[in-house]
Order: sequence, then C-alpha cells, then structure tokens
Amino acid sequence: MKNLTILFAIAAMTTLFSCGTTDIDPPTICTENVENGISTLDEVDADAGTTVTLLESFCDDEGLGELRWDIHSAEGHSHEGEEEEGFVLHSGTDWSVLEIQDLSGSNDVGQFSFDIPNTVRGVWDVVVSFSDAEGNAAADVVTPLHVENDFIPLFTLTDVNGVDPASWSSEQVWEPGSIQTLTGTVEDSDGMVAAEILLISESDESVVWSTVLEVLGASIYDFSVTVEVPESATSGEYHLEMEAEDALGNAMHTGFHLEIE
Amino acid sequence: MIYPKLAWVMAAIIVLVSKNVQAQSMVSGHVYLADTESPVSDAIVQAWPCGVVFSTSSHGTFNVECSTELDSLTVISYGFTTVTISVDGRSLIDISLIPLSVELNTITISGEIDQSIVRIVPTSDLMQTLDRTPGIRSLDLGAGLIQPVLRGLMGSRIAILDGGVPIVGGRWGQDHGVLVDPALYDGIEWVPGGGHVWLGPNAVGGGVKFSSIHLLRKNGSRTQYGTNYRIGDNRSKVYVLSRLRNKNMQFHVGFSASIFGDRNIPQKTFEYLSRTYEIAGGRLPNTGGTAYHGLAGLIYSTVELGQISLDIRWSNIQQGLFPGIVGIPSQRDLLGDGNIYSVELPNQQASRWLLSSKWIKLGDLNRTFLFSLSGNERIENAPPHAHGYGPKPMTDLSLSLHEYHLFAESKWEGDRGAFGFQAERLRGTTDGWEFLLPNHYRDRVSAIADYKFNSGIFGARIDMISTGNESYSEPLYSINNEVIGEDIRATELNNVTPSWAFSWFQPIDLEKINMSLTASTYTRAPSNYALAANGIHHGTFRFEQGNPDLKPESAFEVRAALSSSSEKFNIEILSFASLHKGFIHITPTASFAPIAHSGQIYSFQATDAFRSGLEVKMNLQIGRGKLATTSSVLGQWALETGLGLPFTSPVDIINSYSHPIDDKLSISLSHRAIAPSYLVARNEDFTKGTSLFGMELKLKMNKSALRIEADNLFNKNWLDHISAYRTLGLVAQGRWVSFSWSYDLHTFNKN
Repeated sequence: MKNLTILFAIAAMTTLFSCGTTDIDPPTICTENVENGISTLDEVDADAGTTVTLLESFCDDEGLGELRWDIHSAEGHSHEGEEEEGFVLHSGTDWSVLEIQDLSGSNDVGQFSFDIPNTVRGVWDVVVSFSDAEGNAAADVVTPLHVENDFIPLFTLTDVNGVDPASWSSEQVWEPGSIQTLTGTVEDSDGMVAAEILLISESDESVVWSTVLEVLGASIYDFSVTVEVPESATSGEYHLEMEAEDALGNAMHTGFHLEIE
Repeated sequence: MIYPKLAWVMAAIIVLVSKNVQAQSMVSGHVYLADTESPVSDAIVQAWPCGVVFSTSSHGTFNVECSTELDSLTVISYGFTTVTISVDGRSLIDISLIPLSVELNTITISGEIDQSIVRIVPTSDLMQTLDRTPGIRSLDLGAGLIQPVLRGLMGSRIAILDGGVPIVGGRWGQDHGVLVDPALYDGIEWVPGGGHVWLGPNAVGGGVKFSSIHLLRKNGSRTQYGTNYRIGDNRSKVYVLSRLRNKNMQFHVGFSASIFGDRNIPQKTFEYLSRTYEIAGGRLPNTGGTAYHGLAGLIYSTVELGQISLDIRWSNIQQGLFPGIVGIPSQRDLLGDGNIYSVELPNQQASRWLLSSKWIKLGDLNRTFLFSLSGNERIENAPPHAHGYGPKPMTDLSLSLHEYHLFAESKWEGDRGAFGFQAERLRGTTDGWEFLLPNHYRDRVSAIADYKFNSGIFGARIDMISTGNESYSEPLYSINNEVIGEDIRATELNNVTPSWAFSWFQPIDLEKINMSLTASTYTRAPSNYALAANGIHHGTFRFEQGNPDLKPESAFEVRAALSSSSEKFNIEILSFASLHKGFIHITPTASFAPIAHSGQIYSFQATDAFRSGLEVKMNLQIGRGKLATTSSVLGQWALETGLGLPFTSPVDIINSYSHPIDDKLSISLSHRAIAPSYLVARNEDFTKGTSLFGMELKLKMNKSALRIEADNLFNKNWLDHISAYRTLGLVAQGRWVSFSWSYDLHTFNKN
C-alpha cells in the first residue's frame, strides 16, 4: 500500500513538473507619442463629415495578435474611469464602426481611418481591444469621441420643469396626466423648414403626444412647450423625441429616454 | 485488430456471468432505504455462518447462497448503518437501512463496497443541494437555470440521468440548466469520476442520478407535500408527490410549482466590457421567473411478468435573462420595472418532456429493459439587434434549440456481474437570428459489461458514435445593408467514431479502514457543439467557435476512496487523478469576433491536461452535538501552458455544528470558506476568497418537518468564481432566509 502511495505521488509530481509554461502577460500600448494620427490615450474631438485617423503603437514580450477598433454611441452607458459626460443630446446613434486588424511581432502600429457621417452628433466611445498571439487580451482602452456637427439642426434644452437637464442624476419619471414644461432652442445656420417634439411609447413606437414648432425660415428658434402626458398613457418606457429639418434637407432626431409610471 | 480481441473478452465475461448464477438453495430479498423505500444497490450481504459475501443489484435485490444452513445475514452499505438479521427459515427477506450517523458502532467490512456512489441529501433548492455535496458545485443564471459542475466539469462532460435516462437539451451551455425538481424523485446519487461504464461516454466528471419513483413495499399510499418561501429573491414553492398502490398496481403523480423574483445581490455597480453600470434596488433586474414540473406514472408488478413502469415527466421554466447576457445593456435596461416577478426581454423558456418505460424481471439473471423518448426545447428571446451590418431582425426569437432524444438500455444482471447494451439517437434543430449551432445529430450504440472477480470488479464498454451537422450560411451585408456575399457559419460534417472505457475496481482490506482503488481508461468523442458552434453565445457573453477537426480525447484516471468510523468520529475521503490526452476545452484565441459587441473568439481546442482532486467528509460527535466538515480540493491544468482549465473551482470548506435543543428541535450553525482562485485559465479573472455564515433551525415532528434556513447571514458581497455572472463581475446571491414545511404521510393497509 505504501509503495502504491509513493508511486502515485511520484507520478503526480512528474506530471505537474512536466507542465509547460506559457506567456500570460497581455500586450500593452507602448508609445504615447504618435504622428499622423490621434492617439486613443487622449480624448478625440472631431467634426461630422470629416475623416479621422487613429493611430496607436502596441507591444508584447512574445508576439502580438489582433487589434479591434470598436466605435459606438456612448448613449446609455459609461465606462470605468470615464468622466461623466452629463446630459448629451445625441443624434444618429445608429452609426458605429468596427475594424479588425492583424498585429505582428513584438512591436507594431495599428492605424485606422474612418469617415464621420453628416448625421451624427454627440459622444461616441472608441474601444480599442488588442490581444497577443497566445490569446492574452489586454484591458480595453476606451476613449470618448466628441462629434460636433454643422450640417444638421441643433437642439438645446435649457430646462425641463425649471431644472437644467445637465443636473439630472437619474432617469426622468413622469406621471400620466401630468404637465411637463420644456424650454430651449433649435438652430441651424441654413434656416429650418420643420421641427416637432413628440412623446413616443417605446413598446410599440406609437406617438402619444406631439407638437409642431413654427420654425419655418428661422435660423434660431426659442421654444417653451408644455407636454401634456395623456391620462391614458400606460406605464412603461418612453422617448421624448425632438426632430428638425433644415432648408438643405438635413434632418436630425434627438431626445431623451423617460419612464411613465 | 482490436475488435476481435474485445469481442472475446466480452464473450468471456458473459460466460462467466452466466456460469456463476447456477441456482442453489438460497435466501433472496431486497435492501432498501428506510425513509424513502428506494432500493440500495451494491450493498454487501454477508451470509452466516458460511461467511460468503454477495452484493445487491442495481434494484436492491440479492440472492444469497450458502452450503450450510443460513442463520443470519449482515448487510453493509457505504453511508448506512450495518444491519444483522436472523433468517429464521425464511426464503424472502426485505431489509431496510438507515443513513449512517456518528453514533455508529465500529463497522468491519469484509466484502467489496462500491465507494464510488455518493448519496446526495436533497434540500428545498437544487442549487443548495448540489453545493452542499463536496466535489459538486452549481453554476446558475437564476433560480430556474442551474447547471451541476462535477469535479470542475459540466455540460456535455457529465451525465445527468433521470431514472437512468441521460438528460439532453443543449447540455453544452453553461446557461442551460437541468430541468429537474429533486422533490419529484426518490433520491439523488452522485457517481464521481470518469470511466463508469454504465454512465455513457460523456461522463468524464461523473454523473448525477435522479432516481425514479419506486414501488411501495405494501398496499397503501404515500403522499409527500411541502411548501417553501424564501426571503431574498421572494421565491415561493409548493410540491406534492403522491403514490397509491393496490395489489400489483401503483399509480403515482406529482407536481411542483415555484415563482421567484429578481435575484437579490449586495452590489450597486458592475462593469461589462469596461463599461460601468449601476444596479438599482439591490436586485439583478429581469432574473425572476416561474418553474413547473410534473410527473405521472404507474408501476405494474407480478412475479410472472416482472415489474413494468411507465413515467411521463414534464418541466417548463420561464425566466428573464439579465440584460447584459445578450450584449451591452444601456443603463435604463437595468432599472427594472418595479415588479420583481415580471419576465421581460431578454428571456429564456426551457421545457422538457420525457416518456420512459422500464421492465424489470428478476430471475437467475435480473433483466432490465429501459426505453425513453424525450423532447427538449430551449427558446431565447431578445430585443432584435443586428451585430455589425445587416437588417434588424423582425422577431424576438434570437435562438431556439429543439432536441429529440431516444434512449434504450437492455441489461442482464447476475450476482457477479452484468452485461447489456445502450443505444441513443439525438436529433437537434436550431432557429433564430443569433446563429450559434447548426442542425445536428448524434447516435450511439454501446455494449457494456462488468464482472465481480474475487479480487475486484472489471468493467468495459465499447461504443460506436456517429455525430454530424448540416451546413449553415447567412447573407453577408455591407455597411449599406446590401447583400455582398455569403457568410458560411458551418460546413456539413459526418463523423463515425469508436469509443471505449475500461475500469478496474480494487477493494483493499485494512483494519478499521475501508479503502478502494479504481483505475479507468476511456475515450470521449467531441460533442456536436465542440465540432460546429460558431456564433455569439448569449449565456456566456462571448463568441464561441467549434472545430470540426477535433478528434476523440482519451484519459487514464485513478480514484481512491477511504472511509473509517468509530463511536464518535467518521471520515470519508474520495480522491482522483486523471491524465487527459487531447482534452477538449474552450480557450481564448488571438482573434476578435468579426461582429460587434461580441469580444474575443473562444474556440474549442484539444490539449493534454491533468486533473486531480480530493473530497473529504468528517463527522465528530461532541456531547449531544455534531460537528460536520466537508471540503473539496480541485486542480486542473492544461499541460501545454501550465495554466488552469476554465472554471476550476477553488478550495472550499464547510463546517457546521448541529445541536439538539430537545428531541424534536435542533439548531445548526454553518460556515463556508472559499479560497481565492489561484488556478485560473487564460484571461480568466482572479477571484478573491470569501467567508460565509449560515444557520438552520429544524423542528421534526411525527410526519412533518418545519425548517428555517438562512444563507449568507451577513449579506456578504462575494464573487462566485464558477458562476456565469462572474464574467460580468456580478456577485452571488445575497442573504436569503427560507421557511419550509414538509409532510410525509404513509397509509398502509394492515393486512
């Protein structure tokens, strides 16, 4: 019996000591100073309708694997260590970009150029994911991409029921039958032809309330509207939609999410 | 040519088995559990005064032969009190066993004991039932979806048997829990380790066996019912199981229903793909749901015909899925709707029906024939979304999986061994806009035998496994949602693979210590999922990719079991070490998924691996109280890298002290310590250890029991290393307090 135990222990030890060792260190971003592009280690500011080039240098002690650029709207979530953006009226949030590139060697450069559509405005997240050849993944690097836009009309909300939306810390909750006051401006240097504010149920995309803003020909229009939440509005998720179109046909859709209880 | 040799071995075994069952004058009977009346298999029956040792069959039957006149029988079974009973001239004797307590006298065992079977004590909750058993952990995505993890392995690497029938239904998914309610079965057993010939070729980690309802021993009825309410996730449950026997016929019927709310967790924020989210109200939104299980069956038994049983089982679980499961949630998805029981998108509906029939005929060779047909459906609904380019789907059906499974087993069992055949046929179809796995099939035929030599038990199984899948492709879109090509996600595959298992069980006689060694070697064919998966798996939060070139893996495993008991103390130790060649497991690659929000590609790869572990169970009587300790240690390494295999559960120790307040009332205090997860796979996060306290107050009356249990008393915020939620940094359930009442009514006819 004793011999069996010793034999078993030796077999186990032999097996364990014969284990291979492997690279478990994830790759890193190794150079902060880049030319001919924007490093994702800094915030990125860009205008709609322009081309942006992102550039980064990556290192690994054994060998690099792949790099992925994932650009998506920042609406609805935040990232670790990211500064609070506050209240942002996004437009064109469907726009996203995904690019996968091969990296090789122990030091390689990833470069990515993309066009920002004329329809987007707000904050996007640039998520840089990268791995080494063994599959070790580094923690994602996340950088905000602030997109300004001179093409589409711009809505600004100064207060909702007397409160600056920038000070909101949680989702708006409105009651059926309640009155909500929205004050702000809508502007476009090309002049506007139409603007409308709507309350839309997200369950079936039905419009439960709307009002037209008389913006025809104006390049800036101040508004103060009273939203009458219908008594019949069922509890659920809603969206306050603000839409406008300028004289050149550039349309924009923005707004914020709220709940009716 | 290996097959002719094997055929000779099989033939020899069959001859040996047959030769050994030449009848002499004998005493026969049954050994069964006193409380549940379920049969006890592999119990040692020693005949006196001749001292010859026999063992009970899988139906608890025995036939004892002795050249001299019998005066008494001693029955010994692992985990139960030893019973010696006078024969008094009877030819048929039924013997009941009571579970072992610390007040045992010293047991001396002189025969073979199958120490590889561990009986699991059921509780009101499947997850708790599993977690209390050393070597078993459970992985869950809510109260309705619980996946057993046996010695670090799960899914298609373990066998879950419902009355002997393997449960299928997408068993490859961590999020695909087993659809069973322990309250509707006659016991649960765990068979640890790989190479058990009767468990089938998938049971590398072992198997959990849920026992079918047995025939009452006398005419009459037995009804068990109970109710349970749990503060925490506000779960309510009721169940009833009733059986009525009149002469040769028994009818049994059972039903359980539970509703559970969103899971309570002591956590306010979590991160997903480096995004930070808040959790409102201390609950994981949309994790509530309902679970229903039903059973109807009959047993007809006569001496001439044998015992024929027919069971129909049905389960349905509907549960919300935490929004992060299907991709990156927005903060507003996590606010909940104020109703903890509501089930919103995303959600999962899993259902299963099983029709099984068993025929048992006792004789020189006990004959068993088991046949079953089951349908397994799993539907995942999610808010329509497109990954990358392409039109938004028109329905909520992200993935559906239907698997129909036919299983048959024919078994001949003698006093010294058994042989038989198993066959199964699985057909799976998938649908939905989130492709993961193509339509697939799996067929298996196996020939199995075991034989009890004087020195030990030899077991063998030879399988032929046919697996395959259809091809699958979908349109490839440009940024303008125009079709620009074809995205081939799966190619047609048809494999026929032989497989085998051989085992040797060796009891070792030591003074005051019962010990056994088992050596087994076996192969395992890759699962359909490992061969053909290629898509985002919502339940695991990653892109999983199969590998059609995978070959069967093989393993050599050694297990040791040791137990000893004295008046005040008993100890049981199970251990194992196994070396796997080409162990198939999922590992991260250097590549990222070609579609948005799906992270790194994890692919199935085969690398050599070494696994080892130890489970210890000790009881110590201290005055009127009892101190119980259970512990599990597990190590799993991929030998090429030296890294751990995924989901290697860290060491844990559960200490509990039970003290009787009076004859009926007792209190237990427990502490569970979980070590840090020092052994992790590539890219798997390190998990800190934790310390959890629990309490139980039990009032046991004549036929009923009242129980108050509390878990995680101090509402500790801890990460469960093997939970699917661990990937999101979501902690395990917080404190819960459960109130249970159960009633067990026996009414037997006096005559």
